[in-house]
Amino acid sequence: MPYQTLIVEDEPQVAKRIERLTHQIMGVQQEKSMCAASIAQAENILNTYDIDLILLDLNLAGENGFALLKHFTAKAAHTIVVSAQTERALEAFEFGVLDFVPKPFTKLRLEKALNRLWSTPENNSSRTKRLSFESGRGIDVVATSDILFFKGADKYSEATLKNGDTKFHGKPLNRLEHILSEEFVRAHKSYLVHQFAIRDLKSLEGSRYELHLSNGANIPVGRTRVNHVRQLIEKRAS
Amino acid sequence: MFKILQLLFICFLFLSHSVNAYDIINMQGSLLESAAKSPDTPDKDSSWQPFTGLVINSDTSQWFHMEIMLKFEKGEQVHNPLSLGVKVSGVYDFYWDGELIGSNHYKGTTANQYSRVLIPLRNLTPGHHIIKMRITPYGMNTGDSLGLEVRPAAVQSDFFGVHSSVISTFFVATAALFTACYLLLIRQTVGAQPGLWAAIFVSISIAAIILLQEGRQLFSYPYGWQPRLDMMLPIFTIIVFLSLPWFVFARLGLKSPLKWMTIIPVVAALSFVQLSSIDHDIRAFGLLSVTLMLIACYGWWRGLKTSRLFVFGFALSLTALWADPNLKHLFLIVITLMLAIDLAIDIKRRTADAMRQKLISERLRADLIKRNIRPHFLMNSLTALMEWVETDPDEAVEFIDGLATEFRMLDQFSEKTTVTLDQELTLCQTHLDLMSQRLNGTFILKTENIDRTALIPPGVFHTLVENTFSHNNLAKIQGTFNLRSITSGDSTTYIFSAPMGNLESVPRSLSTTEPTNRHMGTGAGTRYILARLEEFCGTRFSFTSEQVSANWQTTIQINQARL
Repeated sequence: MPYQTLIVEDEPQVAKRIERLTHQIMGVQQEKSMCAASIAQAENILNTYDIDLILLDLNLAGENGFALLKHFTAKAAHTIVVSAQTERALEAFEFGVLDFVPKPFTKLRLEKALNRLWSTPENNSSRTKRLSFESGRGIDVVATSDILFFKGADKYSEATLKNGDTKFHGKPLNRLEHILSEEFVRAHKSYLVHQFAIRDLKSLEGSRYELHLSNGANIPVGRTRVNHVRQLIEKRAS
Repeated sequence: MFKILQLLFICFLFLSHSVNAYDIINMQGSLLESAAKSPDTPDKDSSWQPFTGLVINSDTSQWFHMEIMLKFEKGEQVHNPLSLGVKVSGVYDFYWDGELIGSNHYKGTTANQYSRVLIPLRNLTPGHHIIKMRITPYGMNTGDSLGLEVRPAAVQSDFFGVHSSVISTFFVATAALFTACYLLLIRQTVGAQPGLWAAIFVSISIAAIILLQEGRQLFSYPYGWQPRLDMMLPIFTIIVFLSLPWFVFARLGLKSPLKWMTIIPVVAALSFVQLSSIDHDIRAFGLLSVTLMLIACYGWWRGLKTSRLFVFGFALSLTALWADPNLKHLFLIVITLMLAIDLAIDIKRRTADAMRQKLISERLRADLIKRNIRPHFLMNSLTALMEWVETDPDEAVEFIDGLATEFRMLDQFSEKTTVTLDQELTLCQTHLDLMSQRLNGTFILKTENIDRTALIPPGVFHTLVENTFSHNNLAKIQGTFNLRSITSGDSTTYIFSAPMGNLESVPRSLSTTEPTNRHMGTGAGTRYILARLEEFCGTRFSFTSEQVSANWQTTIQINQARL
């Protein structure tokens, strides 16, 4: 799958470097690469193109790194932070960025970060603890421990929270699964469930299975995923 | 019939069990009482008159004859010689049972008022003794009081006799002298302070007054010195009278101490009003203390520093004056301590201030050195350099050269507290050249009506230039910075104008921060500038920063009146 990348960076030399190196690293996998020197430009590009990956500078002049982080991690695309503000690395990982590349960076370091795009979720030792959701009011930040499950809805995902609220996240289920920790289990093609929300696994007629969740909801379990889910439940019981 | 007026003292001094305790017994009062009561009163010539304690004739051609009878109980053992403290102006001869024991052998127009006569131990045998005195009343007026004291001789013959008046005398005199030395030391090390000289004068004068007043009973010095010493006493008193208020006014920080000083002659004049039998100098010091305490109260009300110390200090000094009106020791101790405490507090505050200032200076220095290793500047520069090394080495070399120039200049600046405007602008231009290269743009600095030799604190305009890049959304790749100055009288106003980024529409999720914060105002850069300006000229500056049309304008006004 070819990727479309967006570089959000106001330093022309740095932007040039990221662009040149990502092109070298991704090669044919890169379908399109764009640069934005400001947030407004970035917004325009994100609204126009299906961007898969944002390479984000947290020190976009005049902007608050934390606000930028919240803002861009709510988007559909994956985010890799490229920044001199190394003190923000931990925070960035908690918001579910794929990687944090400190400036200045070598081609090797950037390659390692980009490799996370196609690394399988099993290898990922995610540190994501919070997710930001775009809403009418701005950005809502929700702790992942407060989320019961995600349901895939077209390009988006719908999260059901412990308090009964539902929120739409810009990322599709696959990308969420990529950045979320093993606490979340893909029970079904369209469902990503928090392990601790699972009450029990019920078998229905026709060798269909269903998960009963702590909020009373039932969600289907895919045939190929039953064994995995069962193992998790047994492991948790022991 | 006798050209000599005879005055009779008859004294029965019962040196009872307390002889060895060396009580001071003022014989004057008890003499009369004892004379009236005692059955042992010897019969005397009728021309002798009973003792009134006062000089009844000041005719210097006449002699006083006085007699004192002393009685020791049998079995009483006296181990130390006694001395007679004599408060008599005039030339005298003293006889103990007919044997000459003391004489001042001088004649003059005024005589040593205080002196002493030693009573040898061998004469202190049980039984009655007669002390005879022959005195001419030089320097004495009719109605002056005479005084005699019997003291342990040790008190008056050496410094190490233990007696309260000795202790307090030396304590106060030493304390006052120490304070004076301490203040002189401060003058040498810390430098001029408000009221410092006044405090030095006060402490030296207090030491002098005490030694002059008490020394005559403690030291043996030639008879002829007394008139000159007596003349010095009012001089030192006047010095205290003038210096103490000046010190208080200066320490309180009153705006025009000279105007306040006009109160002092009034206080001095008032002290001549005889309200009671209190001595004139006590009245004067008492009135001065009350006045200064009231002024300190006013200072307290106005919230002036150290006013509370003075209020309490003068209240205490008045209490001391009331408790011990004659010797004034307590009063002077309190005044001396007040000076010392005030200055100790002041020194403590100054030391703390100096430490703080040093810390600030060190921090500013570090700030300047650190400036170019801040991540945003350094890491972006290094990233750009990596790119140039890999794609355009010549560009890399040029950038490294510019970077080195700026580093070197900042290092030099960090050792200074002032630089010329020319040096500062060169540093700014170096930074602009670097940023032009790094951002692939054109940034220039224009100046208008500036004096390039003027001194300014280092790094101030450099901070403003740097802030423009780090806090301003300077998406455009061109910009003109402008510096102009206006001089009027002693003040110079620098108006620095920096281009602003296009504050384009920002998504709602990001527009939470205030526009001013998005630019500059309360950040580290502004704090640096304010601290530098304060270090440079104290409070004589003003700093404003605001948006003026498409530019961010910073105005710094420096008043150089006393620089």
